[in-house]
Amino acid sequence: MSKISDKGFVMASFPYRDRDRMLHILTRDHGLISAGARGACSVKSKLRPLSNLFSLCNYEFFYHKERFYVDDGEVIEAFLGISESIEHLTAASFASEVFRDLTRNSPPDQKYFDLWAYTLYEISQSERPVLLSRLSTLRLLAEAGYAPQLERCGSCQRPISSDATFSFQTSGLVCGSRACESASGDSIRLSEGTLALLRHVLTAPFNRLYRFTVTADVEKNASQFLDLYLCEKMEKDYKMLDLLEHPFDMDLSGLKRNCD
Amino acid sequence: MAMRFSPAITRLIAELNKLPGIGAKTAQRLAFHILAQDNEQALALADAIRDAKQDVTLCSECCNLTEDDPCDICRSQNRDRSVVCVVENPRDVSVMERVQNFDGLYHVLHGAISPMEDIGPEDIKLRELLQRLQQHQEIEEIILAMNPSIEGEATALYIARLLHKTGIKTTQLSHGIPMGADLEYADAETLSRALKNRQEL
Ligand SMILES: [Zn+2]
Ligand SMILES: [Zn+2]
Repeated sequence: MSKISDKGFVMASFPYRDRDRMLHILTRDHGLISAGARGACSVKSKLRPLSNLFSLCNYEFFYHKERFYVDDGEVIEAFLGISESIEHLTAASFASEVFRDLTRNSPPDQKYFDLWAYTLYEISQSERPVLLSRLSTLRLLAEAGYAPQLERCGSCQRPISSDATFSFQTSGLVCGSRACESASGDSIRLSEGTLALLRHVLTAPFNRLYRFTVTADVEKNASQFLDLYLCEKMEKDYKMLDLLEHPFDMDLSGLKRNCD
Repeated sequence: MAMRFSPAITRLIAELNKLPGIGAKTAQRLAFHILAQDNEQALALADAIRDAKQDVTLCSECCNLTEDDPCDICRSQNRDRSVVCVVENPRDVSVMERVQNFDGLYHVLHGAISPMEDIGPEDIKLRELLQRLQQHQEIEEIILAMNPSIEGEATALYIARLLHKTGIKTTQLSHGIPMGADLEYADAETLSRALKNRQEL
């Protein structure tokens, strides 16, 4: 049995056995780990606050029979802003799923921890949490070596600066030449504003990543691209944001009480 | 290396394995325990499951589990019908019932909004709550008693926002119950205090 100390974010937290919780924690030094938190559902358990979804904690783990268990720790930040709205909660949950998928089999690297830290903080504060969560997946893919080529034609490597078509086939832009156009396959048109936003997300330091202003048109165009690009690179259809597409629809006028 | 069992045993293990907190090994142990019992004992379990599923339904008023519809609490003449305490699970009703100073009604949502578990506003008994508030104009206050988790908090805020400007008072249990605790495991005294100090949203 060995002991390990590390900082980590709770990326997912599920009830497990009677009063335990199973946690997926993105740690700074050990990558994504699964850790049991025994008795964490009990009110008096010291592990209870360490098992809350999205919390950042200092953890003491022990490692026993090829499994991590939370032994002790303290909460650094609970990110309660995430519960502000369904949009915030869904955005953070979606980004967490992608981060978990990508870091599950990657060698530990602090850049993933840092990127998640900035992302979660900004989502908890933002008025556009869903856009931020989508953008975070692009930067995450880029950090893992799957950046799209947004400066050049994906076929002939000719530099392109203005609005352009993006080819999922070549993972790059498509220049005007007939040969490159016919090689492009599935593609999407990216406006100049969208390109500027995506380029910013690919290159900005983490602390300035989410500092930008965009129009509704750019948000729409970028979101379309980001969903397709994520699906293509991860070979998975992420469904979590669908929850927001069908808002709860009910006439609430009959609820009004007479205030006399 | 997985062990091989006959189809009937495999099926029993698989069904037990679907229960919360029952892993593959425990499912195997339970299956062999059941098979070792005499017929009468083993079938008593099967009958109990069948009867419970047949006789227990959701109360058409509060969505709690009940054998009589409406349930005892909804039918009672001794309860304050102007206050409804909204909880996540049927278990939470029995927890709240331990609190001596609550005599209002309940509404059971059967969950909290949780994108990770693919549970949205339409997947919990929220529409039923709003319909009930429409039909029962005598309800003046809603006490939101979700579990103090990120999802419970988000659900409470979501409901509070829907009820904003309706004239229905919306309150939440005070945070005497620590973040992350299940209501289920809170003691009656803590709950009683949280209820007394409930805050308007
Ligand atoms: Zn080209
Ligand atoms: Zn009832």
